[in-house]
Amino acid sequence: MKGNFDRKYVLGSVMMFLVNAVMISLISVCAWMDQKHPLSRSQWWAVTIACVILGVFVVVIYLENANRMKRNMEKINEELQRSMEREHKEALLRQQFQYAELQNQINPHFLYNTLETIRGQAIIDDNYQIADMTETLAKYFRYNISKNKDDVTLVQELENIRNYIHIQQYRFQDRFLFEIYPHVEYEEYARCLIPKMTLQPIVENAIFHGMEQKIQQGHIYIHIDTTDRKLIVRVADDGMGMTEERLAELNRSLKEEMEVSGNLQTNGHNGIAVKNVNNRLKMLYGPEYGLHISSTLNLGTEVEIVIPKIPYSERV
Amino acid sequence: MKREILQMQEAVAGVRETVGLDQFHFYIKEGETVGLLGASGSGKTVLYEYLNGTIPLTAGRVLFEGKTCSPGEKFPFVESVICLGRNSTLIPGLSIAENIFVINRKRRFYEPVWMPGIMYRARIMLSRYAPYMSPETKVEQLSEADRRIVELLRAIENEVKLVYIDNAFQGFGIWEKKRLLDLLDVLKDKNTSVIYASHDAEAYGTHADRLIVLRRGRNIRTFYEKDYSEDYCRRLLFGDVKLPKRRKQLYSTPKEVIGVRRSAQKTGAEKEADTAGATVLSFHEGEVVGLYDMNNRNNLGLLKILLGEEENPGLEIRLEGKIYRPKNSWDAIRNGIGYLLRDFSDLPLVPELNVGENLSLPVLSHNEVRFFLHGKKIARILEKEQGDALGIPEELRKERVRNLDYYARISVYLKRWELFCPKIMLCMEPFANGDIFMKDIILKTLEELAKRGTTILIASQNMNDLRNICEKIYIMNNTEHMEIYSVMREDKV
Repeated sequence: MKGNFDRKYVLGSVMMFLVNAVMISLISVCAWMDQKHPLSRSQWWAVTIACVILGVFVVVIYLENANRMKRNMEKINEELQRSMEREHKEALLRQQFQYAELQNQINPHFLYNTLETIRGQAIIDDNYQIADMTETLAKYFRYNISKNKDDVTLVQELENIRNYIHIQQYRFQDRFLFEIYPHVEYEEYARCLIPKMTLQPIVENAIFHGMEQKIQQGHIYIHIDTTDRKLIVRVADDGMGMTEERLAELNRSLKEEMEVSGNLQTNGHNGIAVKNVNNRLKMLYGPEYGLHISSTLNLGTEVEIVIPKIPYSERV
Repeated sequence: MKREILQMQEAVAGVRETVGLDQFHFYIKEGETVGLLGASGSGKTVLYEYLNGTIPLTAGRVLFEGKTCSPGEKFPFVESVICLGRNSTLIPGLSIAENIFVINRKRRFYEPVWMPGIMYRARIMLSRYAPYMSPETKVEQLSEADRRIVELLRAIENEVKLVYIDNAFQGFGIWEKKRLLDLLDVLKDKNTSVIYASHDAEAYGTHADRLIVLRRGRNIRTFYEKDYSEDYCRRLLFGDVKLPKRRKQLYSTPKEVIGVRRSAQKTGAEKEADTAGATVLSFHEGEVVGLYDMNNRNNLGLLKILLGEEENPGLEIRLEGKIYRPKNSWDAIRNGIGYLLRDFSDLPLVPELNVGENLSLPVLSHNEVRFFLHGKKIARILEKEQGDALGIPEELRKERVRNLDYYARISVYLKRWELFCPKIMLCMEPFANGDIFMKDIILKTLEELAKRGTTILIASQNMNDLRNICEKIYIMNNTEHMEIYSVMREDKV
């Protein structure tokens, strides 16, 4: 590309030479004509100035075009560079995700079969609560361990969240209530694609950081909204919230770019922190998407997840 | 599928050195109504100033209909937005039709104005949305609520994409509010988005699709109808701060300060009717009286007469036994009348002076020699004495008043009235634009004034506000003639 550009400069220089040559010829012609049909001094000056202006005009336009092309090429180079860096980071994130999966991987068939056995025994013993919990756990693992796709529909992700909450409510009893509120028609949001395991770390945080220390009954809500271009999912709780300093630190870390070092960053729960979710979304969709967190100490936290609205059919 | 009209990401904007919006995230779809709920200083008015094209965006990203607005720029799409603030933007000397169709952002300066056509179009529009109005009526003859209605009609005519309402409906009567909210529904049907900013969640009723709570320029929570809780919302706005519960104290004495009677010169109709006893209003020293009117008409009318802003020859007013007929508000102040208006946005303080100087100014300013000789000393004394009572930290007392926060400035303004100690204090919907902190500051001042013997008259259409402090409430009906419909005394309540 640089070679092409240099060639264009050469061409440009040749053009300028030609223009100047034409001008000089014009002037010579005028000088010759001066002998046969003498021009007055003012006519002579007018012709000369016109030639000069024309020459300058052509040169300026050419230089402007050349500069513009140069700037465009520099922009393209930068874009390319950024795109390559983004792909590299995305690959690294995927690698981390897979590595975490690998670390925890159990032969899925063994797991499902064992859970089914437990469930069967629970039914025989008339212990329907354990049977129910085991069935839910099996569904949860089936969703999370499957290596089929990175993107799932929002309905599938929400179903996984319901299973997760169902399991947690066995542990937390009635310590919190959970509701999902869609604010658009089902067809608008149901088949929108969302990266797998986007919502679960956030809901998990709402339970363990929000509800665990709360004395009264808490609430966790998921609100779903869409515009023509975006899918917005809000996870809100009325739990313990966080201090302003902690919130500022968290929002600052969400804005920072992920280090391209390959270090795993875990929060001790499932290996995928809120920050990683945010980074993943920004890598996939751009800096204007991702998470936004707001919180008030002792009153609750709200996490807003914004991603582009990609219907399942478009992806296929 | 609704299009996104406005999107703001990490928006920062402010007025002078104050940051009003700080990392503000927001979006609104076409046809959506979003409520912005926040106390004073939360950034609602700064957002109004930005969308009105008055102040630039300091940082962040704003997209309007997909087009970007960069930091450093003022909002460039003001033609597609109409902002309704506390002050009307109509031209008082022009008619309703002219304000809607001539003062119109879509109209180009070179387009001719054909009055018959404009009147015709105005007549059609008004017959549909406000049949009681006439297109020829001058705007200065309209009430505040009707002016807002005309502004909303202008929004309909301009086919704007977004309407921003900043606390513009406070203090209106129930029917006036209903008419305004009906017009907002019309705008919604036309896919116009509405942002309704207020400090009072009740203002939205069921009209908002969602409610965003603001605090210190940031959005901290979004509520929908299904998960909204008034108590939780209040705690988000104000934290767990518990204001001291005010016990209503009675300071009234039997001494009548002001009496209002029907004039002796009755008209023929009045002579015929001869109401059973002329209407009498009697206010005593140290008494706190509420004047309740559902439509905020007669109660405010009475206060305006006492302030000299209106006349009513049918009434005879006696102040401390003498006939009282003020020519204007200055005359009223000279007679020992004080007043509090509804709008505290433009406080009559001198921004470049400090607390003490602002407190001393009204006392001394009429005597330039005295002010020159003693002004600074008196200002220092007042600053020291009153600073603690005002709750202003010592390091801020020498600061210019414009650098103090909104609540501190209101406290200084009210303290000035306290020092002036008027005979009668007229309060025209003082709580309408106030959050609970502001209401507490006002209540404290009124209580202090009543303690010192000032008669306090409060006009409001919010019974809860009046019950907090008044020992007597007059309920005024909404006819042309002011009558006392019922009186609620402390013992009957």
